Amino acid sequence: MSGTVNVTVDGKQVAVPGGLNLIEAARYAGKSVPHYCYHPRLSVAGNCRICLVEIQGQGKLQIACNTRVTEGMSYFTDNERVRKAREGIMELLLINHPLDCPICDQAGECKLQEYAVEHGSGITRYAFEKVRKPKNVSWGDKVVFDSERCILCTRCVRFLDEVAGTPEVGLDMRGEKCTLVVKGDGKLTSPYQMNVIDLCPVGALTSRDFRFKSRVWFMHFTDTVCTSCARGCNVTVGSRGDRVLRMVPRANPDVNHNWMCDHGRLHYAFVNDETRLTVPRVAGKGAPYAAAIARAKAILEGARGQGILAVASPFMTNEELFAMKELLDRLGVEDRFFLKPMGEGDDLLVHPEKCPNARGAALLGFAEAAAEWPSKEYGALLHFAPHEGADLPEEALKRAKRRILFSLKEREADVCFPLTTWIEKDGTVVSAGDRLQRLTKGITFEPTLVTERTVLDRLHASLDASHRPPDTAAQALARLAAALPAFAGVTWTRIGPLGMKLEATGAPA
Amino acid sequence: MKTRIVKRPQLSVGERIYFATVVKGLLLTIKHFFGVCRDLFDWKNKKTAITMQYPEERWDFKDNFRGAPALVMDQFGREKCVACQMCEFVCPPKAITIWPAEFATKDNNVEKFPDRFEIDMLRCIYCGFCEEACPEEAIFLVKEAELVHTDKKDFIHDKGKLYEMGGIREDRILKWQHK
Amino acid sequence: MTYVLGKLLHIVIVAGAVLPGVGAVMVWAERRVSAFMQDRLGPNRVGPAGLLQPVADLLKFIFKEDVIPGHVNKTLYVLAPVMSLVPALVAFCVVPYARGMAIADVNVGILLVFAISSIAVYGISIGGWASNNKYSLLGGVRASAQMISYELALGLSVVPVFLIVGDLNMEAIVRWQKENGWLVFWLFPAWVIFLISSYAETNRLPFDLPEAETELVAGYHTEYSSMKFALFFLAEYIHMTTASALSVALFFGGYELPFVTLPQGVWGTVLSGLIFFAKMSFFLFLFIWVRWTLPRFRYDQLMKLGWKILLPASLAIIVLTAGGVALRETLK
Repeated sequence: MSGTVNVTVDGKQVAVPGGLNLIEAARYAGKSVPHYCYHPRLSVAGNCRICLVEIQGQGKLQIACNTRVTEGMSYFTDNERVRKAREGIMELLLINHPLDCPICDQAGECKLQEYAVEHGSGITRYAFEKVRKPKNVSWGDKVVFDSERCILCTRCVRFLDEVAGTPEVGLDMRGEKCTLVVKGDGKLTSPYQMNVIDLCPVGALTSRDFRFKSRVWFMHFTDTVCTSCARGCNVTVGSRGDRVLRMVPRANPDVNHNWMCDHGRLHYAFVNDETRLTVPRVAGKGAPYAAAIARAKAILEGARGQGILAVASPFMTNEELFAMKELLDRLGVEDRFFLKPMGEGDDLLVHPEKCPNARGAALLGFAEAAAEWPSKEYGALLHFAPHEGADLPEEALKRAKRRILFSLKEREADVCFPLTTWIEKDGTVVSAGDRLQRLTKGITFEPTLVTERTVLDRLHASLDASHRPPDTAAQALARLAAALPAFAGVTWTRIGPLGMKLEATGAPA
Repeated sequence: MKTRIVKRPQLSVGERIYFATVVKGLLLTIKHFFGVCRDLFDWKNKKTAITMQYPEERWDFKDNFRGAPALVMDQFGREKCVACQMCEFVCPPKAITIWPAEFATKDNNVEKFPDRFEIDMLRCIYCGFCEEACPEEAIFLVKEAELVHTDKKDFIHDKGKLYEMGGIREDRILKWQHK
Repeated sequence: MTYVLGKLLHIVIVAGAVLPGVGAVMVWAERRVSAFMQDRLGPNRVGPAGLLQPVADLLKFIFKEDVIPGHVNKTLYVLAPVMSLVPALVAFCVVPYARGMAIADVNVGILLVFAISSIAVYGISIGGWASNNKYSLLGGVRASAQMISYELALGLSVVPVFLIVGDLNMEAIVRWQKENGWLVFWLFPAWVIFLISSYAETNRLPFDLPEAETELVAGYHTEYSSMKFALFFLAEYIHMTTASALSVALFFGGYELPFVTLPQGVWGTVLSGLIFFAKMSFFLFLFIWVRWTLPRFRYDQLMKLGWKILLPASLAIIVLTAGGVALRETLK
């Protein structure tokens, strides 16, 4: 099935790749065919019947998802017959629908709502008692199931079977009693189980974590990258009132397709932690940034003769690492390390490196910390504490006379700057497979917070008045690309929302 | 625009002396004066449209009067609001804030309720959009127009105050009766 | 000595209690009557029927911050309300408000009234000028022009009274009326002119052009507040009282009643005083009544009325009355 075939969609001739189904082929003609059960990454089930189209020469309407294009095919996605059929299907689907929209988390991004408006008749002729099925059923501690809302499209069944590899859900009973059931004790076990929430076209499967936190229309959405592991799954972060409320995967065929792991999805609580540090601390007391930077400058200048230890964090963006590198170059610091948290990975998405930018730190000249720390005594320590995972060993911390820390929480140090999390700044990270991806600022946790790159640049400028720091992340990236051959030719816009491969590093694809 | 020339009225001699008209005016005002004097002694059957004596006499608001928004309960004392936040969404001055929560127990179909429900009456413009948007018929603009406080904080009506003002309203649907 | 002390006491009672009291009641009456005429109830909260409202007003005036704007002529600014109030009080001295009870029973009584009340205009003009404010100045200028214009008519309108009675002494005029009937029956047109002119003299509607809220903010007292404003306010009401008293004394038989002879002694005096006050009250009510009925004149109308109508009319009345008196004397 190769080459192109010519099809006519609603009278418009288009050439499409062979082997496509009619839903995908219609996109080439700028037409969208409604569909519930069909998902491009799952096998075709063909049970929702909303995608019926009329193929010229065939008497009955055909489902578009399970029909492939043939040369010279002509079909209609929007004629009177098709519209009538869709209206009928919508009426059928809504007969027993509980109309929970006011309390349903799916409301606002619900295909039933959308298609009811687009293709429904707007009334019901069904005058009888609706079928009652189990509601608010717990499928473990992550997913909540509502059988009344379910339209039995089996997307979740197919996902767990085909993608996650844990066939745990199936259909039980027949007719109006038909419902989804989970194998065994009724709890899902898959580490990818929360993808069924995104897959579910209606509100039958909802997230326990996000349950009733916010209506989707109140949220602000930011396209960024998950930082839980080196995979760098593309995500969309939903936030309201400058607090992260949920993360859902964003389709990227080169990284995560349409999925992400549950760990990454639920890994944002540290962002919303109200006990986070929001102002710098100098000797345990809150201080304005200017005072903290002046103190840090004095420490660094005083420690020049005695040596400075610099420990970066693999949670930093390339731009921050570069700003740190410029500062360290200025100070003549040789000992540059970073700590890499490791964990378990799997075959699907989870990467053993539990940080987003270990590769970037390595590319920018920081050495992965060895088990044995140099036994040298240092005059000062400049340390970015990682969000999680092993921190510097206590004796390594003690080996420096003065300590400048960047930390999420307050730590004992001469100067402690607050860290900002990945969703509070623009920047780039190098994900697995040397893939350069963009982080986007979505929230402002506290207006007082200054990002690390700005702190480093201001510190640098206080040491060297000729330092002209870049303003935006895009400018910082341009400066970085000009300085390092591995990043040659990279620009902010070239990376794009889906990221790009760093060719110059020579890593395997 | 069409121009219309209005002629100055020609006054008769009697009118130009003004004397008769002045007397006419005086009689009119004294008529009202004695009218009110009379009504003072027979207040119940008063014939003059005397200004309302506000704190004692109060306006009888019509049913479609748009006063302060309030939450209502159904006849079983159950809160009707399910915290869908449609009113919060539709509220033009963003006066409504809702913190939804989930019921701990599952004894009936009720899953969601407003943990906190606040209306900032200093922002409210009494437009009634919340009442219109409410899918559960839980919020109404009641006949309450005298919001006087000495502290700004008191103008933020919390759930208790809102239910106190709203009271009980018969529910015909009783959606949550079903298990 | 006793005479001086007695007179002083008399003056203190009249100027310090009776007139301000009448003024205070008038403030209440003005608000209540106007309210009734507009189908309202007016101030009825403070005290029975709102009678203590003037006290509340007074307290408010006293406790209000005494603002003296920075751009005014301080001396004159402070002096003006006093200059407005004092002539109003002094003018009352010749009025026989009960039998034999005029503070000063002088032979030129009515002339004294005119002489004194002419001074009142200074209070207003000076207040307007000292305020150093265009609205106040315009108000003051209007007041002086208006007062001069109408004083003429006012003065001429009472000349027929003297012609007929042949005496300037107020008591004599009252006595004459007791014997010959109220002068208003003889001199109705003159009384009308007197009434109109007295409205203009007291700056009451329809002649309140010096204040004219719609044009001049508040006219001559725009810059005044607290007790100084209250003095202007009080002066206006005392002027009204004096004008009403004159009207009663000159045209309506004063403290006497027709066909009834009051007993001699203290009771007679008290009774005569009550009669006088009853008559005066009617005229005070008339002031309020007219105010809440008629709209304000335009300035040119005001001047036209004063100079072209009232002045010739009063002159004509003088001539006619003089002719009549001459005829009467000839026939005797």
